[in-house]
Amino acid sequence: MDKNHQIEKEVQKTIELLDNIKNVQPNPFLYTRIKAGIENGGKKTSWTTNRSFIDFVRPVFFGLLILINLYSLFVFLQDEGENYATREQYIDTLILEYSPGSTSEYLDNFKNKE
Amino acid sequence: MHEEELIHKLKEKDEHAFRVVFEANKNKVINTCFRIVNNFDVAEDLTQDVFIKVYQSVNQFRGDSKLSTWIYKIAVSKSLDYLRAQKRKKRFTFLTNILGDETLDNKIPAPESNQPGIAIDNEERFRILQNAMDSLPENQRIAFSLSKYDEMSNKEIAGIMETTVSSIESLIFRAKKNLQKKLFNYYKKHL
Repeated sequence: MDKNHQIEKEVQKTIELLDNIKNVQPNPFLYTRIKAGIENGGKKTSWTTNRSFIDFVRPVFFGLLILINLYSLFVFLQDEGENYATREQYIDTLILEYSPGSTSEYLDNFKNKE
Repeated sequence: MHEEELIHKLKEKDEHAFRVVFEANKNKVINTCFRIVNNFDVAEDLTQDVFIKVYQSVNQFRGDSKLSTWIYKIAVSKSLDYLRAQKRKKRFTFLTNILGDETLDNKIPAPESNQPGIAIDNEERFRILQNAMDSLPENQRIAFSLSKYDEMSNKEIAGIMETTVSSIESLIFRAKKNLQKKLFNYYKKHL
């Protein structure tokens, strides 16, 4: 019971602080700052301006990047279709060259030179 | 100068009229912002934004309320926008994830407030009060602050918060009750 009374006393003391709080006073130069802000058209710092420029450039850049990738994919698929026979031959050659036990023309030439 | 004449001149971008409006409302605007954001420098920046907006958008003022009510509405809205932006920023920080508990004793101490009228020996008590205030629901906190600190009438607060006078009365009543409850729970744990 005593503790509750003590708590209520503390709460009351804390709430009474609300009556002691005084108002803050604005800086005497605030009006000058506001006038300057109005003359600048309410514009923020240069960082904000740069930021809006970055915000504009970013989607354009990513758009370009996607277009370049799509174009590369298109060119690659076209090349693949055209050179399919050559490509298959090339893969066969590679398998032959690099499979274990195969004789490499390059190695043979190397050995012959020695 | 009558209010209608003042608004008319303000719409014509008359500098003297703007100065009159600024001088008449600067204290209430900065204090309204200060009570919401708890930081003098931020409150001053917000006051600057408020008056720039008043100058630029006075043509949108339809005269449904008093000019001062419209100005305080901008002040409250700008301060809340600032707090929401801060909250969004905090959500992305790792630290907030760790200290994300919203209970009164776990809250990060309120930002430096340079609170006038509070003696050094009462600073700790004030910090506890400030944290309890900050943990109140937003609409209760604003209604209570405008009523208690800025001594606005319930009708004026209703105009600013775009609600009825009876809702404001209820918000202030609940704010007081919640504040007492939160402080009681805090001291129950710490005494």
